[in-house]
Amino acid sequence: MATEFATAMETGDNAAESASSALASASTKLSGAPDLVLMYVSRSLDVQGCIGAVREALPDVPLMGCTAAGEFTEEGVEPKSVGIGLLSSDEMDFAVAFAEDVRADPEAAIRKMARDLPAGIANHAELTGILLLDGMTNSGEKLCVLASHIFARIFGKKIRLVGGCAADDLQFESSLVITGDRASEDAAAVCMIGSELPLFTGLGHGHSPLSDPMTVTDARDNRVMEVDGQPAWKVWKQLTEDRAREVATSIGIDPDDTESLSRLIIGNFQLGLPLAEEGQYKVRFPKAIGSDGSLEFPCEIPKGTVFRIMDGSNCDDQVAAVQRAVEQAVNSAAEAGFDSFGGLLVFECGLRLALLGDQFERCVDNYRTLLPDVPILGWETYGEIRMEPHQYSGFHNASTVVCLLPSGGSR
Amino acid sequence: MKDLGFLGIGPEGEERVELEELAAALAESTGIEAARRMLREKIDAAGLEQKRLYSSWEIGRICSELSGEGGLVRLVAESFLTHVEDGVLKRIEEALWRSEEMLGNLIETIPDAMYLKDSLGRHILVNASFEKLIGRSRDQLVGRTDPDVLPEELAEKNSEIDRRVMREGRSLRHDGEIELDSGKVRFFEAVKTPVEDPEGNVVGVLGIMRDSTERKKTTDELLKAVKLESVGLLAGGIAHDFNNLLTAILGSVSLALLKLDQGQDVRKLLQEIMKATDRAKDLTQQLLTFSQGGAPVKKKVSLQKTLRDSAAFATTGSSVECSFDVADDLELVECDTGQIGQVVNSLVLNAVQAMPEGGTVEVEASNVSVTDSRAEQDASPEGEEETVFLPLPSGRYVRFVVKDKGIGIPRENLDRVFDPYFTTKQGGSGMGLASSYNIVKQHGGHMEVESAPGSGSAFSVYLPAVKSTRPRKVRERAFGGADAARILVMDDQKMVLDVAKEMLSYLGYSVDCALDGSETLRMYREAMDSGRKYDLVVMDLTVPGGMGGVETVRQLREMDPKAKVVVSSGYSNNPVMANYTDYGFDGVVPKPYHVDQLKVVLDGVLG
Repeated sequence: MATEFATAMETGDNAAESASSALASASTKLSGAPDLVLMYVSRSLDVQGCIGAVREALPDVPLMGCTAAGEFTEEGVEPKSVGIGLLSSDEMDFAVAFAEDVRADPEAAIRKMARDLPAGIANHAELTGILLLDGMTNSGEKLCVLASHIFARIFGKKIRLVGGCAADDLQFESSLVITGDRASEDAAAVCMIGSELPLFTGLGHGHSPLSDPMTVTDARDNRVMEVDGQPAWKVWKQLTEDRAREVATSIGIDPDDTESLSRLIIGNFQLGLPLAEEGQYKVRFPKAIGSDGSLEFPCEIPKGTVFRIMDGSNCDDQVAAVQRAVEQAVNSAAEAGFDSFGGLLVFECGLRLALLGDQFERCVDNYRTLLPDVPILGWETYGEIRMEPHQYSGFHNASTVVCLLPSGGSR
Repeated sequence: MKDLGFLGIGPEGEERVELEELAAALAESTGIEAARRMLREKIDAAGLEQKRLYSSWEIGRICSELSGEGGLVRLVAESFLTHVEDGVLKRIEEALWRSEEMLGNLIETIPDAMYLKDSLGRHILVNASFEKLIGRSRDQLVGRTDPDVLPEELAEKNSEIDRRVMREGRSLRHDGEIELDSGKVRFFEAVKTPVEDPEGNVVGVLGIMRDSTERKKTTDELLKAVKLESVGLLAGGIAHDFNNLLTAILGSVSLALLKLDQGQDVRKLLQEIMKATDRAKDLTQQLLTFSQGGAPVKKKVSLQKTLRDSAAFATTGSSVECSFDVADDLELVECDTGQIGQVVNSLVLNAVQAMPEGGTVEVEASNVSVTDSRAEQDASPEGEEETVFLPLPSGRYVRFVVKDKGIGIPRENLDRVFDPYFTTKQGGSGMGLASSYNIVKQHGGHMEVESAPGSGSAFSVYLPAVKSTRPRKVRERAFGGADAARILVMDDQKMVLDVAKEMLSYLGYSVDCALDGSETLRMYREAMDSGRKYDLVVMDLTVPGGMGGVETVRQLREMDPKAKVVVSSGYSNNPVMANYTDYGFDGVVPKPYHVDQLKVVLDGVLG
C-alpha cells in the first residue's frame, strides 16, 4: 500500500452533510483505512457540525485541521466549502497534539504539545510536523522558532515543519484550530509525522522589490511605527502610490477613492526581508494601518530591520510562485532519489487569493500540471510555515508552501 | 557558551563557526543587512575581533549580546547557540567518556546518581545510576533540560533549586520523589553544588542524588515495629491505670444502686463516676494518638496540649516528673497531632530512660525565626526573638526542646542517634529517634540534639509556624431550647443509641434511631417524603458489616444536598474526623462525649 492520499471537497448549506459527503467521497478513493484526517473548513460554516460528521464516521482516526480563507483540491477551488484529506500509510506514523492559551505563553503551549506526543514517534528517521495555529494570535513566527527548537530538543533530532495560521475568509475576526472533537480559538495543534522517508517541501512567492533599502527606526512588537524616521504608513503610501494608481485603474477601482486605494496598497505592497542568499526575500504582510500612522504585521518586525517594499501586483508572477514552490520540493525529492508522490499538501496565503481573485484557479491548474495525478489538499492561510531542519525561522506571508508526500518504493 | 575549562575543554581547538551562518539565521527576522550590522555591533560589544570564523565559545558570547535585544532576535540567537552547542556537547561527552582516568570508570561505577548541568540547565554528563534513578536513558538526557525530560512539577522544582544554587553560589540539599513511566515512585536525597570555572564564575551545577526508596521502605516498616514495641512496653501501665479507673466506676455504681434503694442522694457518687470516665477518655485518646502512623493528617493546632498530654503519658508510672515552659504566644503549627505526640512521647521516654534514678524532664516551647543564611543569623540583634541558622527554608518556626539531666550521649554517637537501628540500649530497636526524625521531616521541620556525657541531652524540634485563623463563632442555643428539631442518630451499638437518645431528648430534640447507613437513608427518605425531614443526622463512622458514615453521608447528600450531618466516632484520630468537611460532614463529635459537648456541636451546626 505504501502511502496513499485521497481528497474531496464539498459545499452546501448543511456543513455536516457536506463534511460527510466529502469524507465518503475521499474514502472511496482510498484502498486502505485512513490513518489521519485533515480538514479545512470555511469559517462561515458550522465547524462543530463538520467535526461531528467526521468523528461519527471515523471516531478513532486522528483529526486535525482549521478554519480557512479558502479551500481547494486537485479538482478545483470552491468558495465556502469543506476540504477533506485522508492519509493512509504503512510507512508513516501520525500523532496529534493540541494546546490552548497560545497568545499568553507560546512556549508553554509548545511544551504541552511536545509532552503529549508519544516519545516513540522519535524512533523514526524523519520527523515532520504539520503545525496549525490560530491566525489571530500574531505569534506565528515565535511559535515556529520555539516549536523547531523545543521539538528538536525533546525528540533528539531536527524537525521539519510545515503548516499555517488558521483563517476566517478574510474577515480577520476569529479563526479556529481543530483537533479531535473540538475547534478552539487561541490554540495550536501539531501532527507529528514519523517516517523513514523524508517529506519534501518548497516555498514560493510572486513579489519583487519596489523600493530601495529602508530601515525600521521605531517598532513595538508587531507594529512598525517609523521607517527611516517617518511614520510607516506615510512612507508606504509615498513609495507605492504611483504604482497603486496604475493597478487600481487596470482593475477598475477609482484611484481617487482614498479608502480603496489604501486597501489596495497594503494588499499589493508588502515588506520584504532580504535573505542571505542574493536576491531572495521573505515577505511580511502589513495587515492593518494604525490610527497613529503605524503598520501592523502578523509577527514581530524588530527595530533596525532593513527591508524593501515589495510589489505583489503582477498576477503572472503570483501564479508562477506555485512553480517555484513545487520545483523546489520536486528537486529535493529527486536529489534524494524520489520521483513518485502520494499527495501534496498546500498552504497558500489568503492574500494571494485576494490578489488573484478568479485567476487563483490558474494556480490550481499549475499544481495539476506540475504534478499530474497527485491528490492535492490546499487551503488559504493567514501565514505560512515552512522550516527545514537547518533553518532558524520559517514563518512567511503572501507565499505558498508545499509539502510532497513521497510514495514508498520510488527511491 | 561558557568556557568549559573546568572539564578540561577550553576554547582552544574548538570547531570554528562561520559568522555568516549566524547572519543568515538572523536575516530571516531582520533582513541580511540589518543582521550583518547588528553582528558587527555585538562583536564589538563582546570585545571580540571582527573576523570570519569564530569558536563556539565566542559565538556564545555574541549570542549572549544578541539575546539582550529580546523578542525574535533573542529566540533566533538562542536557537542558533543551541545548534552550535549541540556539536560541542557531543565533543565534550566523547572527551569525557574517552578519558577513562579522569571520569569514565569513577563516575560510572559510583552507586550514587550523578549529573552535571551547564548554566542553561542542560545535562552535560550523567552516570548509569542517574539513568536508573530517573528512568531516562543517557541519550534522552544529554543536551536536554529538566522541562524537556521530567514531569512538569518535578522539572519546575528541580530547575528552581539549580537556579538557586547557581545564583547563591552555595550547595543545597533537598529530598524529592519521581514517578517513573512504569508508575513506580522512587525517593531520593540530593546535594547540589555550584561548579565554577577558573575565574570563579558559576558555570553549572553538579548534582549527587542518593536513591532512598529502599531505606524509606525499611524505615516505614520499622516504624510500625517500633510502635508495637512501645505499645507493648506501655500496655502494662495502661492496663494498671485503666483497672484503677474501672474500680472507681464499678464501686461507685454499685454503691449508688444501694443508696438509691435506700432513697439516699447519689449525686456525689455520680460526679465521681464522671470524673473517672473523663480520665479513662483521656487515656484512650492518648492511646489512639500513640497508635497512629503513616502520612501526616495535618491540622492547625497549638502544640501546648500535645506537649503536655504526650509528655505526661510517657512519664506514666515512672519516677520522673515533667516541667513545662511554654510561651504564652506560641504560634500555631500545621501538624498531625498524633504523630507529633509520638515524637514528644519518644523524646520524653528517652529522657526518662536516661535518668534511671528519677529527676525532671524539662519541656520548653517557643517561637523562633529560622534563616538559611549564616550571615543573617549573626546579624540578628541581641534581646530580640532568636534567629537560628538551620538547613530549612527561612521563616517562622515553633521550636520545642526536651531536656534531661541524664547520662548524656558520647560525642562519637551524636551523629548517629537519628540513624535507624542505632541504639545503645539493651533490647532497644534503635528506631524511636529514627522514626521521630522521619516524622519531623515529613512535617517540613528539623530535629537536632545537643549533649555531653554526664551533662544530659537536649533534643530540639523545629516545625513551620502557620498563621492563625479566627475560630468560627458559634451561636449558642438556650439549653433545652431546641424547639423540637428532629434528629436522626445512627450507631450500630444499641447502648450508644440509648444514651444519645436520652441526651438529645433531654436537650429538647425529637429523636429517632437507626442501626446502620441503609436504615438511616431509608428513614431520611421517608421523612422527606412525608414533608417532615430531619433537621440533623448524627452518624457513627464505622458500622461493622453495614454501611458506615462516609458512604452514608455521600448518598444522603445526593438525596438532600442541604442535609446537616455530624460524624461521631471513637476513632478520634481517623482522618475523616480531622478533615470531616472534606468528606461531606458539617460537624464532628468524638466519642465519648458529655451532654454539654454534644450540645455545643449541635448548636454550631444547626446555627
